[in-house]
Formats: sequence, C-alpha cells, structure tokens
Amino acid sequence: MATTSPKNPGSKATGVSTPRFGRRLLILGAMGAAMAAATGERLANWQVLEAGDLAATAGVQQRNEQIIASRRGAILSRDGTAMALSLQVDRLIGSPNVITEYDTADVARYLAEVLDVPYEQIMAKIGDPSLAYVVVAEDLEPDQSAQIRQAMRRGKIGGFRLEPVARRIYPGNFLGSHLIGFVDGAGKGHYGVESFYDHELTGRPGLVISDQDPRGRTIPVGNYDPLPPVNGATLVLTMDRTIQRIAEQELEGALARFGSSSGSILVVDPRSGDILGMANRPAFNPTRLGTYAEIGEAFINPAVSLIYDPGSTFKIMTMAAGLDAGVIGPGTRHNLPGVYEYWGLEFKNWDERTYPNQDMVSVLANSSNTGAIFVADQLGADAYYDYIRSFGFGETSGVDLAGEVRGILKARGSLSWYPSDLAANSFGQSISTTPIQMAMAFGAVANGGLLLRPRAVGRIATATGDVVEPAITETRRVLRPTTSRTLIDMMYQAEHSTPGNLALSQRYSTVGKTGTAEISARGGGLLPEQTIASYIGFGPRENPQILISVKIDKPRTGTWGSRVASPIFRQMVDRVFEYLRIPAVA
Amino acid sequence: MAAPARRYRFLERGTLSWPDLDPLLLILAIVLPLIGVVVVASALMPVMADDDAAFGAAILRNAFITTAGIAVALGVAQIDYRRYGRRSWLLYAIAVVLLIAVLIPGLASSSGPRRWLDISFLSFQPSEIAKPALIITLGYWAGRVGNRIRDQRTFLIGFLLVLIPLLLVAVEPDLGTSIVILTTTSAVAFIAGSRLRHFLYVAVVLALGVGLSIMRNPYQFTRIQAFFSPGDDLLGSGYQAQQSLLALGSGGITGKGLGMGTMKFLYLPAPHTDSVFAVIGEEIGLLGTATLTLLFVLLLARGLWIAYHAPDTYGRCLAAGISFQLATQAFINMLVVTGRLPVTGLPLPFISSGGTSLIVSLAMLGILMNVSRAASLGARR
Repeated sequence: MATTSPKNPGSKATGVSTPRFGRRLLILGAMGAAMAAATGERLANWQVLEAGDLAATAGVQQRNEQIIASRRGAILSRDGTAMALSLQVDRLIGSPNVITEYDTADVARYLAEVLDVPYEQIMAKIGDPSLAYVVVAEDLEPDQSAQIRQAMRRGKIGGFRLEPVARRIYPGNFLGSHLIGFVDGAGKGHYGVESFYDHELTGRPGLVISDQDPRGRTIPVGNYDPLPPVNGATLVLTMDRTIQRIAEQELEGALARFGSSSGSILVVDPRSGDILGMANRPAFNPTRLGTYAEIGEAFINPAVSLIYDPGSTFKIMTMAAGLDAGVIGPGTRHNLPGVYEYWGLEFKNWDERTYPNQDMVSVLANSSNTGAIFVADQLGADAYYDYIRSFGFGETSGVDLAGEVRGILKARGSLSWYPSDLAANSFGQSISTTPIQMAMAFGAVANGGLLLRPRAVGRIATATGDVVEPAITETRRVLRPTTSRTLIDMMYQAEHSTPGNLALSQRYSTVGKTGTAEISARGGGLLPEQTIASYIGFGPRENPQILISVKIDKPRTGTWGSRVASPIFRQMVDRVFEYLRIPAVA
Repeated sequence: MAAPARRYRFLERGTLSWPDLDPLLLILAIVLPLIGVVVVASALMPVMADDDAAFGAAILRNAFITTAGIAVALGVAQIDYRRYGRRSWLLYAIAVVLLIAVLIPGLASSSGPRRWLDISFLSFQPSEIAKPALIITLGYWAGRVGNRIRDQRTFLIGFLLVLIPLLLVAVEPDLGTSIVILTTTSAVAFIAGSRLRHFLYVAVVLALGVGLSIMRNPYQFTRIQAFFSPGDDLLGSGYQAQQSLLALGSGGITGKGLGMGTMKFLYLPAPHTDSVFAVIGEEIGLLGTATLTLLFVLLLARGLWIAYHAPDTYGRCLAAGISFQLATQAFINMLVVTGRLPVTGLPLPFISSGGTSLIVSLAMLGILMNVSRAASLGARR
C-alpha cells in the first residue's frame, strides 16, 4: 500500500483506488438526489395537490373585514341652522401591558403635556401594567390627535391607539328636543326625527375587506377591497328656530305662571302641514343625556305620543260636521238647557244655565255642551262618527316623528260604545286625542276642508347629492270649502261676542276655541278638580296661515281654558305673526 | 516531482483568466445570489411598513454583501487550493478561537443562543467560518494521512479534529449547523476512504451527544415534538411550520407574483433568512422552488464530478465536501420549509440574507471553481 508523502500531500491521489471512491461519490450523489427528491415530492404535494386548501386557509387567516361607520347626517332647522350634527373625534386607548416597553413616567409626562391634564391623572390610568385596555382620554382635539399620531409613528410612545368615535352634537340643547330626538352610544336614533329618519340619517356603513398581518396591520400587497361608506342624509326640519324659541319661552312662562309642570304649544302651517314649532315641557337636553331612569318620560313627545280628552275645542269638529252635513246652519235656533238627559245620563253646561232659543254662534260663544249634543243628535251617530273619523281621529296623523299614537275613538259599533257616548264626544269628552290630531283637524277647518299629513321634515339631501322634498300630502277632504268659510265666520262672531276674550290679539284677526277638559283617571272616572286648559286657533281670519295650539296640563291657579290658554295664544299670535311679517289689521 | 510545475502552469502566469473558470459554477455563483437579492428584497417588505429607511438600508446592505461575495468567489477561485492546505491548521485554529470567543459572555450578541460575535462594526457567525475551515483542514489532513485513515487510531485523530469545533457549535447551541458540520465532515471522511465500521462507532457516540444536547436545551425537544404532532402547538413551533406550508400552497404552481406574497408579513418566521424558500414558493410558485432545487442538484452533481476528476485526495475532499455541504444545507432548509424536518434555523445558501453565510458560501464556491480548474486539467490529460 503506497503512502502519501507528507511533504507533498496533494500531488497524487494514492490513498484510495479510483473505482472505490468513485462508488462512494455516487453514494453521496444518491443521498443528495434522495433529499432533492424528497423536497420535490413535498413541493408537488403542497403546491399542486393541496394548494387549494392551503391557499384557502391562508386567506381565512389573513382576511379581515372592517366596517367603516358612515357619518350620520346633520339635522338643520328650516332656516338652515344646525340642530344636530356628527363629529368624528378620537379617543386615546392605552394598553399599559405594552407600555412597559417604554418608560411609563416619560410617556405619562408627554401625554399630560399634549392632553393638558395633570400628570398624576394620566399615571393613574396607565400605571397598572396588568391592564390591556384603558381609555386614557375622550374627545381629543384634532391637533392633539395629530400630535399623538405622530409620536406613535416616531416610536416616542407605544402601546396606544386612537379610536375614532362619532359624537352627536346638539347646538340648540333643549330647543326642539322632542322634534329632534337623540342618538344613543351605539349610534342609533331614538325619538323624534332621529328615530323616524334613522335609516336616512345613518346612511350605509362601508366595508373594507383586506389582508392583515398578525398584528392587525393591512398588508400593502394583499387583497384590498374597500366599499366606501355612504354618509347619512341631511334633514331640513320644517321647524323654524325662532318660532320654536318663541313657543318654548311662552310655554315656560305659562307653566311658571299657572303652576303647571307640563304642556304643549304647536305652531303649524295649515296650508302645508308644516310643523313650524313644537314646544313641550318637560323636555330634555339631547347633548347631555342621562339614563332613562333619570330623564324618564321627558323623552316622550306629548304632542304625538300622549293622549288627552280635548274638551270643548272638539265642539268645532261637531259643529263642522253638522254644518257640512246640512243638518244645521249658522242661524239654526234651539233651546240650550242647563241640564240635559241623554240616554240615561245627565249632561250639563259649564254654568248649568239654560239659554233659550239660541243660534249656533251662541253655542260656540257660550261653549254650550247641550248645544253640542243637539248638533250631534241631529246628525245621528253614524254620520257623526263618519265625520269624526274623517277628521283623522282614531288613526295616526302620519307625522314623520317617532312614537305617534292613534288616540281612542269609540264609535257606534265598538263593543264599549254606549249611545250616551255620542253626547259626551260631541263636546270632547270620552274621546282621547293627541295634540297633533287636534291641530290637524283644526287645520282642515282653516284651510278649506283638507286634512293634511303633518310634516316635521321638509327636505332630505342625501350624501350622493339627491334632494327629496316630501310633497304636501292630503289625507282626505273632510269639509266642503263653504263649510270651512261659514264655520270660520261663526267662530269669529262667537269670539267677538265673548266679553273680555283674552284670546283676541289687538293687531291680528284670529279665530279659535277654548277647551277645558276633565282628565280621565287611569282606573276610569275623572280626576277631581283637575283640568287640561287648551286653546286652538288660527289666523289671519281671511287667509289662515298659522295655526297655534296651546295646551296646559293641570294648571293650579285657574282651571279654565279661557283664563289659562287664551292669553298664551294671543301672545303667540302677536310674536309669531310679527316675526312672519303678517300684516296687522289695526 | 517536475510534473506539477508543468501541469499547473497557469499558476506561474499569476491569475486565472475567465475561460479557465468552470462555466456552470460561474453561472451558479452569479444566478443564485442574484435570486437571493431579489427575493430577500421582497421578503424585507414588512420592514418597510415600519421604517422606510431601514428597508432601503437592508436591501442595499444585502446587495452590497452579495456583490462582495461574488467578488470573493472569483478572487478565491484564483488561489490554488494547495497553497493554503499546509497552513490550514491556522484556519482551523482561528475557527476554534472564534467559536470559543462566541461563548464568552459579553462578546456574544444575544442573551439566547450564542451564535453571533460582535467585533466593533463586524457581526458574524463563527460557526459559518468553521464550516469551510473544517473541510479544508480535514481534506488536507486526509490527503496527508492517505490510506492510514483506515486505521482506527488515525480515524480517531480525525474524529477528534472534527469533534472540538462540533461540540463548540453544539453548545452555542446551534443544532442545525452541528448537523451540517457532522454530515459534511462525514462525507469528507467517507470520500477519503474511511472504514464504514468507524462511522458506526461515531454514530453511537453522537447519538448520546444529541440526547445530552436536547436534555440541556428543552426548546429543541419542543421543536422536534411539534414536528411530530403539528396540531398540538399551533401558536409555537407548529405554527411556524404551518405558516410555511400555507405560503407554499398560496403560491401554487406559478406563484402570486414577485413581491406579492402576504405570508412574509409576520406570518412566516424569518422570511428573509430561514423561511426565504417559503417566500419563493408563495411568490414564484412551484416554478421557483423546483428550479432552485434543481440548481442545487446541479451544484452537487458538478461538485461530485469535480471530486472524481480532482488530481489529489485533498482536492477530491474539498470538492465533495463543499458541494455536499452546500447542497445538504439547502435541502435541509427546503425540507424544513416543506415540513419534512423539524425547524432547525438553517439559512438557504446563497439565497438567505445574512453576511457571514453568504460570503462564506460564495468563498466555498470559489474554492470549488479552483479545484474544478485543476480537475479539468486532469480530466483533459
């Protein structure tokens, strides 16, 4: 066996015979080939045979669906002032368990400076390193957001993120709160137009489907399929801010004056059904909402959601029905007994006095219950209730506000109806209505006989640029135009034949009717010594443009509509008509 | 001994000229690193999400190291491998010193496995330097001892020669590199003509060693366990293995397109180094992965051809050892990515980003080119 020279080891391959090491090289080659083949087999398996399943699994793992909230539309008053608008603000969320990578005290000092709050306050929130989610600050100013965003990008602070939050702002606070409603923390509208037009105001949220890395960051080369949100529509209310303010001021003043805690004033354009003002007390401030327990029934809009027996204002409906059917005329005369028995029940005039041989104007002027019974009796129950239904009682007015109720109308044919109910109904008792129903029924008298659907929103402007202006909607014709004319004249005469009528303005010619309704107790019967004082009227007499309804619940000082509601109506007429530049008569 | 002087006349001329370089190896020495530069640039994209400047710097650095590596390969190819054979003990000594240095607290860069050595601005892996140092030393030694390697005593000396750096790498710990070193040196000893019986002894000794290493470093056991039951630990080692498969499957046959892979965004562990093959699989598909596999098969085949025709045992050991090591490491990396082997943390030679590995791999290719020159002269003769 030859040995290799130690001096020159590389000169000749002498150690192993060439054939043998050749075989060993082949074995090495075979081992390499085996590894390559094993690799190839796996590649074919994963990249061909199971590629579909694996790609699907990877897709699911990376896919992220993010809902992009649409911006809620604004609500403007008739004159274009924002009554509700949505702002996108950031809130700062901290993860103290991640902040530990930084000097927490440094981070807190920095945030205290940017947010302008005491250092201790920040430290108290982010100091506990076991927490993963802490709201550090709400409602950041835009420049604060920008500063923090930049600091995070530069790595100056870590373990924080900014979360966009939609905030609904109501610049008018209490003003028109029942018309507007409010939005809850989840962005859903409640009450008023916020609820009724929730769909339009919300718009359509967007959806971004994208691939994300395990830390939730979008992968730039991954799938990115954004469906942008469509922002909500802007609503323009029919409400006039000035008229609304006048109504709320007058209502508050009246409640204070008469020791009452609740009431409503409605201002409606009888020609269009536009709600120019709708004041209610108690009210709420949609900007600073408490819980329902705190605010309670203040959320409810009494003008559309609460019922009451209208009382004498309803005599206008009875009189209109009688005139329109032709069973009476303005000159029809009749004895008006102080007490009258009808189907086994006694009905009295308010003063229990008998007025012999009176015409129909006198029935209105004296607000005679027995006179009203006479008219209804002349018509008969079937015809009478046809008219009452036609005026919209027992059905919703269709107003575009949330939570409207129908009221309770018992007519002939209802199980609970007694013939004596016809008499009670004729002067507005034993029937439950809402203030908006009464206003629209009076509106039909004012506008020549048409029952209109009341409108809270006059214009809807979508984010895509479409503008919808809901048309004036006639529910039906209730009275012939001549009936309307005749009745307005009768009301005018009746108003002017009442001595010391507090409802009459010195400068504007209006007509209307007082009401003093007894209040039905919950368990049946009537609440003693408690009334709802009301007045519904409109003007100018020749061409009615404005209808005002005043309702004061349970006044303590004075119970009569003519004492309580009439002067408020007059105040309202003077201020609203002047604001609207309606020419004064005198 | 006058023949060598005539046979290696080019050495007297001073340098190799281009036509003297092995054309296949030359192509591989350029194509493989270029694939690496492109794919690593793509794999580094997630860095860009955090820091544009760092992304640019990382790509430039990789491009620079790659260019330098190719230059090193061409430079090394100029040096007759027999020139440094006699001084290979120095190379061996340096490698051992560096491997010891990396274990000294304060010099190693990380608190976990001690694999990196930081010397001023340089940061490198001594184990990468140990790989070629061992092949050269062992090859030269085998050439010197010749047939005596079949003696038990001589074989034992060779085994000890390997065992010292092998243990130093194993205690870093770096099991993957240890396995590559062991495989490569075994291949060298095998080609040098060692008795198979001796390998059996070695195998028994090493099995004990591996057992010991796993007992000391439980995470290795976790990885192996995860490998055998991938469903158990989907958030740990099993998760990493699963992500590689998802990347391969997402790429399918033709891939999503260069740069369009999404798995590199924090789903794949170390997408620009250990998992770069998965990135190729996702972005270039089976076309890319199969081509790359074939290129390493070509490298191995060419290396073994060179070994067959090498003029001496030393050159034969170099050619076989180098080509077998590069190919083996590549295949191990690929088999890890394809889920056939547990996660080992080995880079893909020429492709993975990483200074030491890339430059050393290309330097080894340069040595192979030099042996090829000598072999082709021998073959022609």
